[in-house]
Amino acid sequence: MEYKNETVSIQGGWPLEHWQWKFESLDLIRKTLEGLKEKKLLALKCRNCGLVYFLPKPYCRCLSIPDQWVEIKDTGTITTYTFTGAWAYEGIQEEGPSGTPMIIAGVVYDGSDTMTVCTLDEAKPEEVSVGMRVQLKWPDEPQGRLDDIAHCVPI
Amino acid sequence: MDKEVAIIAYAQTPYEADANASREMQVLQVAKAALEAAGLKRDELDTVITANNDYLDGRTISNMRLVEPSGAWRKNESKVEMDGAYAVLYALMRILSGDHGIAMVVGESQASVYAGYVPGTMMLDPTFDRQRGLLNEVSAAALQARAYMHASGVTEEQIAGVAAKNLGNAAKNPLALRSDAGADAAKVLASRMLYSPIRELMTSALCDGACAIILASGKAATKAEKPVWIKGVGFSHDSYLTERSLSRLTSLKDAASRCYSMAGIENPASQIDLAEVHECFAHEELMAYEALGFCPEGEGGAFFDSGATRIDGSLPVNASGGAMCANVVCAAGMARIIEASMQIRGEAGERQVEGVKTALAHGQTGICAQENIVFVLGGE
Repeated sequence: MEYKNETVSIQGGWPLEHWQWKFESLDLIRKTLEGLKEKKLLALKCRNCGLVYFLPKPYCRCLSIPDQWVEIKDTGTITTYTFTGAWAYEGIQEEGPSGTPMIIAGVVYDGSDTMTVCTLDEAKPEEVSVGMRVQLKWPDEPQGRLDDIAHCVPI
Repeated sequence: MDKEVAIIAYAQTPYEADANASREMQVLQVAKAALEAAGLKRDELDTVITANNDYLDGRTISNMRLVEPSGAWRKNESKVEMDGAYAVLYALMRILSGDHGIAMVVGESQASVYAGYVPGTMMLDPTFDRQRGLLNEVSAAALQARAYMHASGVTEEQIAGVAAKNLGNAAKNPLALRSDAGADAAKVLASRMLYSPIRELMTSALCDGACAIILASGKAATKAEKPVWIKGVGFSHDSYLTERSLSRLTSLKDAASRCYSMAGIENPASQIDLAEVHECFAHEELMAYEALGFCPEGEGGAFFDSGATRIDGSLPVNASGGAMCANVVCAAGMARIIEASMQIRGEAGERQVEGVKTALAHGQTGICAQENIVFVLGGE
């Protein structure tokens, strides 16, 4: 039998960033993003157990499909927070960019039952606390993008 | 459960930052060592369960290359893609089915081959949290820590104290990757801040390694020396981190409650002699004290301050050094089960706690300890 020296290649790759995942949440979030253009926070409520999801979620822990859109407030409460470490803290000079640390806050907006994670602006780390009241920091002209709800400020 | 299924042998690799061996050879090493310790041949294994993770392996069907090294060739093999404590659960259930007498359980991963906390970002909600870029395993754990500190009045010093206790215990564990006999809270608090309040020495030591455990039915275990009996198991899975309170390990509380009911534990603080908990970050050990019912809710910090969980206390926790000294994803819960078994058998060397008859072992999987499993083990 004649041996033929050849390479067989299988075409294609595995670039995860180009995978066409199927997410119902993408359809839901489009509606929420549309609302942001009018500075409205649209959340999804489960009619069965009453839980309000912000951001909207296509399925509920009670095995129902939430389908009632409700508008929630743009004020809320910090339920937890952290801040980044590359900065001076209690006398320890950290390496990295100088300046103030970024504060990451878990915020439950009034009317929602779930937490959204955003940055808390216009506050210092020592001023933050669980239970602190905050307001979404709207851009002057919201573009209907996730960036529109990326920041909050103390009330 | 009363003498239905026993742990009859086990083995661990040393825990290393960068092992000079493939995952397959590490698994082969522990599987052979466990069989030898049990006095069994590969032919005597009825079933094999592995715990490993496609994403961490960087390939799919992560158990396919472990068929031979785990002793599973042409046997009845299956896997879990979670912590190895769940693989022990799976093996336990197979034996309880009555169809299998002896089960090999293997868990492994190698943190040296992937970039630290990068794979964990794939656990995040894809539509918002992953796009926003604020959350990763460490910042999410920091949110959990802060919520818990607020709910229970715990301080950064107490969290640092837990890390120091475990690093100190690890100095007597020859397999530990990270240890420090002289560690104290001040030293932990002087380590690099990652996300407040989490500092470098409050994180677990991600590393390379493998564990093997051999389980036997009550009948098959009668031939074994010093069988360690599984007296109870319980497990529970909570929601994604933005949809639950991060201030409590509610699913661990559920898991413990189910386990205690099976094991006949009514007062865990007095009936359990030693516990090994899977603390991916130091504060999770304090949260576990409360969830496991070692102290009332809200008193984790005070319970730690009482010294009860020190190696010379009334209920030592993580005498091995816990995950602070070595955290092999997919095997860390198995390491907890192995340490609890060693303590029951009196094999723990310099870190042996006197009179351990009943011990608890905990495993967890998922961001901010989303799912938890608890075993209670006992000697003769």
